[in-house]
Amino acid sequence: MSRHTQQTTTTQQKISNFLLPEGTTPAIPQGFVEFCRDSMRGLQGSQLFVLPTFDPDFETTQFDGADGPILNIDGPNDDHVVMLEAVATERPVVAIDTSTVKLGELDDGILCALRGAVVTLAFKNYRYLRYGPFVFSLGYNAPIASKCLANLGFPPFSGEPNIDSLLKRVRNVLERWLQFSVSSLLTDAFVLIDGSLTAGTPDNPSRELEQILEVARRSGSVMIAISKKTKLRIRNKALTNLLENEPNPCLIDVDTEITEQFPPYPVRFLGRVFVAKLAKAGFPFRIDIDRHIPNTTAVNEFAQLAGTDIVDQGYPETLRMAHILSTFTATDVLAMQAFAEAQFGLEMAPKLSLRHSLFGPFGSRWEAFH
Amino acid sequence: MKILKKEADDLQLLCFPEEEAEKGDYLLVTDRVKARSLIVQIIDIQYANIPGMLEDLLRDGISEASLSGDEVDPLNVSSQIRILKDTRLLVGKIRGAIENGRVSKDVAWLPSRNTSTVEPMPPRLFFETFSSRHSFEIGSTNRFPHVTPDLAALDGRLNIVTGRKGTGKSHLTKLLVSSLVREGAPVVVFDVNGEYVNLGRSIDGRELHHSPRIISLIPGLNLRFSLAEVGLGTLLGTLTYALQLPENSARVFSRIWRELEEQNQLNMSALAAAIVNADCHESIKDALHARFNTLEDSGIFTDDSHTALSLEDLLRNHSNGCALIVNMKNQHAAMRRIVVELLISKLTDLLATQKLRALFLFAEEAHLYLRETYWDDVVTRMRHLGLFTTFVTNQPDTIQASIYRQADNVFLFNFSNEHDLEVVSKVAKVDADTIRMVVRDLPPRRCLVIGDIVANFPLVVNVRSLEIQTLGATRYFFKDQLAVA
Repeated sequence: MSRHTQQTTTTQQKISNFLLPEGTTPAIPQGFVEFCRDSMRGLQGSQLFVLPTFDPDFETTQFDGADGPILNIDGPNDDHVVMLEAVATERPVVAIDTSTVKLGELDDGILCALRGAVVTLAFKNYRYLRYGPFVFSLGYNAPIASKCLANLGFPPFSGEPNIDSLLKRVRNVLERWLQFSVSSLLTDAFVLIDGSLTAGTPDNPSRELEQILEVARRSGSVMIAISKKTKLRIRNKALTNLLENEPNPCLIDVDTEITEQFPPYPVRFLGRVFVAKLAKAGFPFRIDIDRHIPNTTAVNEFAQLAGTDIVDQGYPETLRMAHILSTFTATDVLAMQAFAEAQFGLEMAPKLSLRHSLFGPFGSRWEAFH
Repeated sequence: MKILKKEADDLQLLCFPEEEAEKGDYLLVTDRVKARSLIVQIIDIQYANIPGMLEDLLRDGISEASLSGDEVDPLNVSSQIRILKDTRLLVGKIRGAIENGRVSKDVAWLPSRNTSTVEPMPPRLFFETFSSRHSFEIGSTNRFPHVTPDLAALDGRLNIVTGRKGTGKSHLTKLLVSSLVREGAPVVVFDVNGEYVNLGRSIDGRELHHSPRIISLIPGLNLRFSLAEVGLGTLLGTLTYALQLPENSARVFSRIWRELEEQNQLNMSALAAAIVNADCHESIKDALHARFNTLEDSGIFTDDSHTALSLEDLLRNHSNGCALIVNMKNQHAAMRRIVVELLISKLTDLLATQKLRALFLFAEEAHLYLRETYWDDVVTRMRHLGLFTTFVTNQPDTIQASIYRQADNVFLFNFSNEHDLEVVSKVAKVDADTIRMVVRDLPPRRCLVIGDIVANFPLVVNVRSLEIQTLGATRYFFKDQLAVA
């Protein structure tokens, strides 16, 4: 975590502005900006094969533990359901979300963009801080990719880089940096993130998350991860279906049932896993809360979150806004392609559609019409 | 700007935020390789339909409404997003081409999307191809000063000036009239509101050098005719069309007229006596008597040869150009019809007998005094005789559709009413889309000029101000209204 340690001073300064009056312009760590710039150097005159459709990555970088085959685990009994009664507080709520998009293919890699958003609710006001877009390239050339990623604190690597995996790592870096910054600066806050508190894969190492949780704990804050989608299933039904017959706010602790199914290494459940419905007639979500928080306190934290933030449809408003603000639209993609062309001398070219070339009008889906 | 699409004579261009474009502007799309240019007029400006714009705007709307915040954008990518959001789509009409420096109508080719340049086109390029010996400054475009078409394009032509009230029709008409007079042309203006009478005076009331050539004629005061000057034909026409004299009565009137003529007794008092003593049915006598009383009350006829006006002499004495302003302000409808009937009839006589070479007639709100049969006359017989009419109206549907189709020049000011736009879109010299899209957004004093006077390249012109007294501006009670106007 030397990367985070080095950044802490400047980061704290920048994020401390976050809750201060408008007009402040906090900066992103220079290393991240350098990473973007380095990755774009040498692309002058390269062709950028733009994709016929844009495909933003809304998925979370967090691993929910159920990669691979769907788990069917025995579920707890219905009598374990705990009813939630919302408790209003003045505690700040902060939500963090990021998203990535591929802008096109290069001869030896891809051009991508990343954006992060932090939304805070404090003193009954919502404010946001949006980072990016950061445009960068990820290449198949291992030495160059390795050199670029060194700016982000990644150790050198050799062999064929997996572009998708690298993209997840870069996104994870920004996400963790934002989470760390927020956790270290705010006290007694709810820190909401998209996904889960499960870590332990190369793209999502557990060490950083552990440290973030530790920092949050020390500040009296609580980190909660809310997952819109989970592959975990119980009795051949989606995990969230456990509360399908419960109209009122409630939760159920499924932690033991889930964690018992996994070996202790490498995947680590750093959060206690619940299925919770935070609002009446809302949707149930998988919600993870810092494992170090005792079960009864956790229930109380959920009740306070439900009473502090707007939880329309059972989903916290801060997190909803963070998601909306971080996502990319087709306009953003066009603009970033134009930016890459103007700033880095890329030449745009349409991507050859093999399907169209081979099958002409008998191709399928979108490509058949373009 | 970049070419986006061409379909028939429509050309769509993408216009980026730092580039200026307004409806009515002309652009020159030049293909350097082919060494040719397309002349394109912008008729509409829209937002470019960029993918994802709806999501973007919704997101902005949500953000602006419920939360504030800051952007950390060290690479300054957001500036590109802003450019895209404000990118406009220009809808243009291809009006012609330029090849070897000459304007042509050969537009059957496509300029390259990659290498073509797009730049504003100065209107002088349209006029350069025509020999312009009688040019006058009508005004400017938004980009270029001094639009100077040729007045000769009004000569022998049928013209229309129309637009809703308060948009500057009369102002332009005054400019046209004074320019024609300066060029030595004889002009007659049917002035319904008495707003042309001071054309010879400067704003501060001084007499201008052409002042003696602006002659105000007030019916019954200095516009009076002797019966001999008018003649039977003209008077009979007036009685029939302006005063609806029945046919039988007209025959009796003709008989009385000829008898008086033979007796060399053609004067008003003799005519009155002859009607009283006429050997005819009492009802005819009553009809004639009633019409005679109307004519007499109008004060337009006189037996005094000194006060009687001779149009022929008046026009001959001002052979270097003049404007006869027939001031019909405060005149009742019947009086207007009598005056107009008499004058048109007399002027046609003069033209038919070659006593007058040609004459420009400006008719404001002609439906108030022009009889139905004259509409066809205007575009056929009178035109050939040398009477070139300009209709000025704020009610476009009062002018017959055939007039729009045959108009050689049309000056269109703002209309926002769909019905009015529909009527004026019948102008044959330009497509209906142009009229609908451009005219709707014209501010006061700006007009779309169509026809020969702009070499058939529809041009949006800011009509220049005049150094003369322009009576007729809308009168306001509240002073702040005046400032707005």
